[in-house]
Amino acid sequence: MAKYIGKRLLQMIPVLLGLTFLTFLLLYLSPGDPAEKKLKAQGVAVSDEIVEQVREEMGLNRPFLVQYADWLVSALHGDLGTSYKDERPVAEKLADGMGNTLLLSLASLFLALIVSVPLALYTAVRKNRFSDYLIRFLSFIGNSVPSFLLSVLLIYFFCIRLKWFPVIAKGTVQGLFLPTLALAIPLISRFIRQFRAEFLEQLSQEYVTGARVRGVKEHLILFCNVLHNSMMPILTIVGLSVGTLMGGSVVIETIFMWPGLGKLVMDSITARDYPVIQGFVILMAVLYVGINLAIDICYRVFDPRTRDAR
Amino acid sequence: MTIQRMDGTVNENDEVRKYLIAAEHLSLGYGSAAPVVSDVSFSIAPGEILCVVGESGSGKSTLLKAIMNPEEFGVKICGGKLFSEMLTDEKIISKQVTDEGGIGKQVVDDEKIGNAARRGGNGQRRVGNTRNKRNDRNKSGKEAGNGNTGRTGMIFQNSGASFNPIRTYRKQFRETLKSNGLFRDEESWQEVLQMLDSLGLADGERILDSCPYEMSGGMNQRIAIALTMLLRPRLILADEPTSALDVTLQEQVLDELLRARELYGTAILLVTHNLGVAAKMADRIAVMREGRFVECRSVKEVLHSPEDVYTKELLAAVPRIPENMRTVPPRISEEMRAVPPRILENRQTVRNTGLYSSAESFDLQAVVQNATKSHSRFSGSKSEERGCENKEKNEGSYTSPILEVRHLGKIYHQGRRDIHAVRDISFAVREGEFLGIVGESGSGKSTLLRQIAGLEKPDGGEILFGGGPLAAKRTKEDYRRMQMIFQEPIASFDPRIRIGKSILENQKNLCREKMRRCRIKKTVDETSERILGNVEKETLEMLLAQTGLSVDLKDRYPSELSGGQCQRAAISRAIAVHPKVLLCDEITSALDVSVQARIIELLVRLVKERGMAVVFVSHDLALVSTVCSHVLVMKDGVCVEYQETGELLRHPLNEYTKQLLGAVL
Amino acid sequence: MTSKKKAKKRTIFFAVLALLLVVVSILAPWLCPNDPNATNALYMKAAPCRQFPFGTDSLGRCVCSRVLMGARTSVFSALLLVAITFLIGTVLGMLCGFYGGILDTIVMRLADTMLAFPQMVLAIAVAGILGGGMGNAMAALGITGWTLYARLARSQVLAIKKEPYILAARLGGCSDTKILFRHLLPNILPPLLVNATTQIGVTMMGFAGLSFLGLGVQLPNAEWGSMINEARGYMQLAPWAVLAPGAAMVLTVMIFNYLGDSVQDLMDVKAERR
Repeated sequence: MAKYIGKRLLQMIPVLLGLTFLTFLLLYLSPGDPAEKKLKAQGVAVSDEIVEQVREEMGLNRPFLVQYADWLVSALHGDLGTSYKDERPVAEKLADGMGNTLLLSLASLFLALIVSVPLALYTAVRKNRFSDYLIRFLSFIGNSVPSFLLSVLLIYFFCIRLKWFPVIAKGTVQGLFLPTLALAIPLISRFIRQFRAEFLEQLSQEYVTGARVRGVKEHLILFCNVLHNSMMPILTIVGLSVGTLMGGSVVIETIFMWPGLGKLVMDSITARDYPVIQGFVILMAVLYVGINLAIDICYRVFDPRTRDAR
Repeated sequence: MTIQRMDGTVNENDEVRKYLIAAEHLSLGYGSAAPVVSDVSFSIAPGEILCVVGESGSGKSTLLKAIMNPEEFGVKICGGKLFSEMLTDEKIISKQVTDEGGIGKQVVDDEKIGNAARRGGNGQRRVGNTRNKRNDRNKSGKEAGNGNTGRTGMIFQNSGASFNPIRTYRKQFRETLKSNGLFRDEESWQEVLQMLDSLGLADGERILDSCPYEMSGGMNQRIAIALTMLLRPRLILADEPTSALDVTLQEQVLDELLRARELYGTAILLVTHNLGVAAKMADRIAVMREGRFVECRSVKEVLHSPEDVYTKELLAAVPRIPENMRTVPPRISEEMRAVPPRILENRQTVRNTGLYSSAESFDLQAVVQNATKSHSRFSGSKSEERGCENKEKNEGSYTSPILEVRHLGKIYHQGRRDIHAVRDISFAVREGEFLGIVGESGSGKSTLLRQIAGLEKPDGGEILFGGGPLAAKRTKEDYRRMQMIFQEPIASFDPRIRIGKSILENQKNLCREKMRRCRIKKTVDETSERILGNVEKETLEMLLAQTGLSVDLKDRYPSELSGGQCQRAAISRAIAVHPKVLLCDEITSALDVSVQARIIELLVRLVKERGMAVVFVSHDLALVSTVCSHVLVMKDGVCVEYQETGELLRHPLNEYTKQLLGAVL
Repeated sequence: MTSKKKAKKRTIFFAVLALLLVVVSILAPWLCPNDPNATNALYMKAAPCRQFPFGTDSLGRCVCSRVLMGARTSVFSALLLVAITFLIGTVLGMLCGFYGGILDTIVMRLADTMLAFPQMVLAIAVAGILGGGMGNAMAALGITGWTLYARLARSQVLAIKKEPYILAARLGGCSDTKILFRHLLPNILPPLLVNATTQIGVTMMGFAGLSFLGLGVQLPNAEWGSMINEARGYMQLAPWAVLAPGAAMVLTVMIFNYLGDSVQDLMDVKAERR
């Protein structure tokens, strides 16, 4: 097992290298001169001399690969550069927003799971009945509504019309409710469809027929076998949807003014504060890769078939 | 299980009969489609084994599913009645009985199993539904023998799949026993271990703690039998329980089923396509064709004096090793051995009935014997349009081998281990000769064939063709001289291209050069290129005719043809390029016996006409020995024996060969 | 059989609807009741009336006309992007699967790297750094989009390559190109097409999301996402300025999603989950 984890971690290295390289390239390709951008972001008057001085300070006159290697080494030490805007370390800024974003994401993920797993199981068992059609139709609509529109509508009804919640969330518990809902609804819709397909797949397996023929009780088949066997595929689906969650949180935090990473990155985009954007992308990508790697390893633990293969 | 005498049976016409299950003019179907099974009547007495024999599509599995649990499998009862003993409307049954006849007396434990069935039924919503239906059965006129759970066990073709692959047997045994109300902690585990032990699975504890996916198909099959027996069924339904297994394992599983019957008096309804299996197991055999029972009598009667034309045909089509040729006695069936190999002495009667006009009756043994004798007399008659090719043919070529394989090897790397799929195989084939390669699954026989065809690169050794070595990178001419026919007939044609086009494509690719050269020689105008279209059409028609296919099949897609038709098309695709060597990879293992017989007949005829050499790979030693002049037996990638066929059958040297021979009819 | 027929009917129905949408977006300039960019100080945030069927926004522009013009940007950009990524991905994937070797390793490592980024996060960053505009938004979404088709095409080719009919074609002397395009391509196409159709709706939402954040279509061009963003500030005064583009968006995405679903049922293959 440890061998397998080690192997997977080793396999991760080229992906991480490629990932950091692409992100670095992104910044390198961005229009304009970083030194100039930095000065502009700070509101300093730009003259050629000052620009040249800052370029030297930032090491921009060195070859591209050297710059990359340099940046990578410091990134490995947790130094993702400093913000153009206020000269604070990017890592610090990201750490500030991280907590709020995690709270929001975990809350929506939790909500999505406790709603969608039972509903999906229910629709799978009652396939092609009215309730199945109804739930599937609703989830279909949920799938077709972009999260920004959903948030705007939620604000309109709950904050403006019903005045139940404050318009600006500001990171309070009361303010957590609407963003969580806005983030969870698209997830729920997706999960219901995908989990249902997974459950149906399991129900159509021959072992279910076999168990029925042997007279095993239906609830045992459902909860001990079908649910047990779909655990890992479900976890995989969840892992993949973390990416959607991350993208969605940018939009939703911006709309609800939730002080998390998403809002930070949008503010940085407006302020052309590129190191922060870069740091954000790296953080998200590493998290995403890490989560999916962890799930892959879990798969090994829970599904003995993959464990014994090779 | 306490066995007690129950005398609740009906006495009518002074006959005492007991039934576990009986069907009366039963018709079954799926959805609104035409019935798959029609007008089937039979009954099974306790402790009796009834084998339903039929080819694919005959409806035999549907029948089984209907008896087990029609709702679960989506089978609809379209007509007739199906009784299981519990719901016997006694008068009807006893009437039914008088028609059937020939069932021995047995003792049954009615009450207890009835209860078990009811308990099993409660847990299932679906079964619950049918129980309601059962109440007004007189109105509906059709009732199901479901709710059988608990007293009817079922064994699938692939029992591995009928277990949850990633839960331990222990958990699955427990939940099954619990659901059937038979679970009593320690006591039950003792019983489980005893049962496993009695079926020859000694290492019970270890088995219980492993998962089904870790076990081989044969093990799974035996464990499934053990679990089914633990439920104390009085009837076991077995659906092709041995077809997915290698011959040596088949026997073991069948023996276990027989032992189960001996120990517990369980009746068995076994569905199989294999007459050998039926002959070994059955008390009675029912032959099924197109959803009907054509014959349902005792084993002896069916095998020795079959009444029905179809049964006769089926018996004749089974490849068998002639008695005078074998020294190792077959272990599978004494009954089957007693049947004279040639049953169709009077073929005229078969034709006259007109019933099976499409299915030409045919005697495999006779045809093959003629052909194998004639291959040495072959004279180089080649088709006319290919005159330029005849040059290549020197008259002495049949004495020297056309294809020779020397020390061929193939290694697969799996992790750090090297797996020798093929190791040091050598053989030679002459024109007009059949070489058989026999082995069980995984013995490397298919890999060997692919290497010869040029689909995989050999790791060492060489292949000689017509005396010269063949490079790993094949030219078009190399491909032309050697064609291959695959195991799955339908999958060997592009599903999106019509059959006719597929057949001609090869010829266009491989023979165009040659055709053009021919035409220049014959000083035919280049403008006649347009006529080529017509020529193509004619060639195609000729090819189809040669393989016994009707011309209008050329516009069909592969999925619209039957397996047999597709295999014929594959043969015509291969012979279209006039190959010298034909490689056949299990070409009949996906087909029914009667179709197999006809395909082999066709192949033998074509080979005779064209003087090709054939490398014939199969798992069926009987089939190979009827067709081939030499046989090579493979095991784990190694050649264990390479002999002239008669010699191999009479004096097998290798232990493994003897084992194979013993398992063959 | 009947379910297949039903799926066919559904596919045709939604294909016709989708086609209708495309036609509307082509004809949008001629269908607009008003000039979509003309401001009108007299009719600021006006309720729907005869002249302005969906009312006006804060600058007095006709919402209806802008929604129609927005259809053009949304539908076209999504279709174009899906088509481009589909082509590139499929061809690359097929070549990788068929030939393997160094090309396969490079392309697949690249795809792995791309897949390490959550799609929307990367798109936001790319668009944010490169600046707004349709081209950049498309690049931002397409940079990860092709991997779906490449991986799928590759795995399909790897699976079908071993089928007897491909082996038979090889023994029948077919050249590589012939095997690739005559035998492999038609047989791997169904799942790829299904995925492409299901991706249309997703792509559309991605575009709208970027535009909503101000990273997609630039003003004054009309786009549903940016219209919603613009109008949400005065939503209590003029809800129609949000609801009209919102409804158009949901309807369009639903039609394409339904189309994807029915194609999936029709071809009987499952879409990749992402």
